[in-house]
Amino acid sequence: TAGAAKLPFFPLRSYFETDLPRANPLIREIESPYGDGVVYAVPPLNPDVAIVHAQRASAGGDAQVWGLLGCQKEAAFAADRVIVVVEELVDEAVVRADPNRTIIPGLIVDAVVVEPWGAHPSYVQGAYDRDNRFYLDWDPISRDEAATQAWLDEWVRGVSGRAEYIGKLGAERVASLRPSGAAPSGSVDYGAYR
Amino acid sequence: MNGTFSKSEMMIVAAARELAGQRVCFVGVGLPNIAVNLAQRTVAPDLELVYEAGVFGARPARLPLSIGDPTIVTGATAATSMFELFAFYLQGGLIDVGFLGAAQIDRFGNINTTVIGDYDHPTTRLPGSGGACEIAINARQVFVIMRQSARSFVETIDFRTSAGNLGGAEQSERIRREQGWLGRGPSVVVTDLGIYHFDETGEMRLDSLHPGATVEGVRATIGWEVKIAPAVASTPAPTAEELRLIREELDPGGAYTR
Repeated sequence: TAGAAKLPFFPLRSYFETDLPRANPLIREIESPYGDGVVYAVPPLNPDVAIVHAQRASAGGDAQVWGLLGCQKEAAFAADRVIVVVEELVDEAVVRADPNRTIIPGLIVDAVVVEPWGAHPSYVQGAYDRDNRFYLDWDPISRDEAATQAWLDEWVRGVSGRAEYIGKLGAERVASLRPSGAAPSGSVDYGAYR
Repeated sequence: MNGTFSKSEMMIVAAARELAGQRVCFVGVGLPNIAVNLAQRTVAPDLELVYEAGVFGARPARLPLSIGDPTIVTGATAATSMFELFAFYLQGGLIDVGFLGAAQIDRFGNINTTVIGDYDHPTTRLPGSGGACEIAINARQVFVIMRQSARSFVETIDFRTSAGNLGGAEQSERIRREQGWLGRGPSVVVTDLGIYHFDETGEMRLDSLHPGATVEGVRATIGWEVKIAPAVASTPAPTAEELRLIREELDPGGAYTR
């Protein structure tokens, strides 16, 4: 939040009476300038690059997300460069029909990558589920250097791109990750005002 | 041990029952997740579940695999940014219960989820605070669920990630008042052996033993001379319905109940 808003710090009502400020000296106690107590300050985070996965974006980079938002908006506004990866490229009119769903404007986006299933093994709300089997398999692989290299050879360096990677997962596994049913939002009327 | 249910199942059931009458619960990672979802299906159907990735009022149709899972959004009251959730809902004072897990806890309910051993040269590095340190301060009360052992119930925790009753009730109440904390601190700890509340000195006291558990067994798995209520209750065994919900709906793979 501080990084996105170009603030020197952000105040938090947290960390009181814990060992965290001692472990991380960037967490600092500050007096309220209005004389009503003490809060903790944390410094801004400004990533060189933020990569944000979204359900859809226009070619101009206006990105729309529904589901968990986490800190994706803050990360994008705080970063020097922003890459948006989307399940679907849509016409700008689709974005303009539902402006409340836009979390990142194309103004701050440097690249749009259209990559369906690009968030696997994680999920995309409404598109596919978390592939839990992957996480369970990954645990022992990631503990072992040789196993990790072998996995990278097979699943990253050994495929031509995302489409081949997803094809390699197999149709059955991919199908099993589809939502078990639909849960569409009702649409709203923004109204026209001339 | 009674052959019809496991100690973990008893712990989850007992933790869920503690949520009866509560309105808004901030759900910690791990064991709290299954306990609150059982509570929503039993004693607290109107419980508003708050997940830190940015959901208020979740109605998960299945047990969420983690705190980031699409099932916590579908059917929820609100999907917010993490900032909004922590700033407006938690710091704003809307959370009745923060439900946390822990790796280490001391007699006053101070919690460590950061490291075992020295911070710079740890024996084990744990997941860290996540939202726990602010939940502990800002939720009106804190519930804890964890398995107990001499390694987890210790005289001195290796790192204080989340504040409990600090050095005792007197100090805790003074600091909370002086610094304007919203939370009153820990109020219940549920383990695989029993249920603890905090007495007037701010110290944990065994109030209920689960079926099969003994005071000797409790003492053997706590690193300090634990207080025991004058008349220790017996936790009612899980009902058939509670067990069915855990085994068939929430955790058919037994991830939490092994």
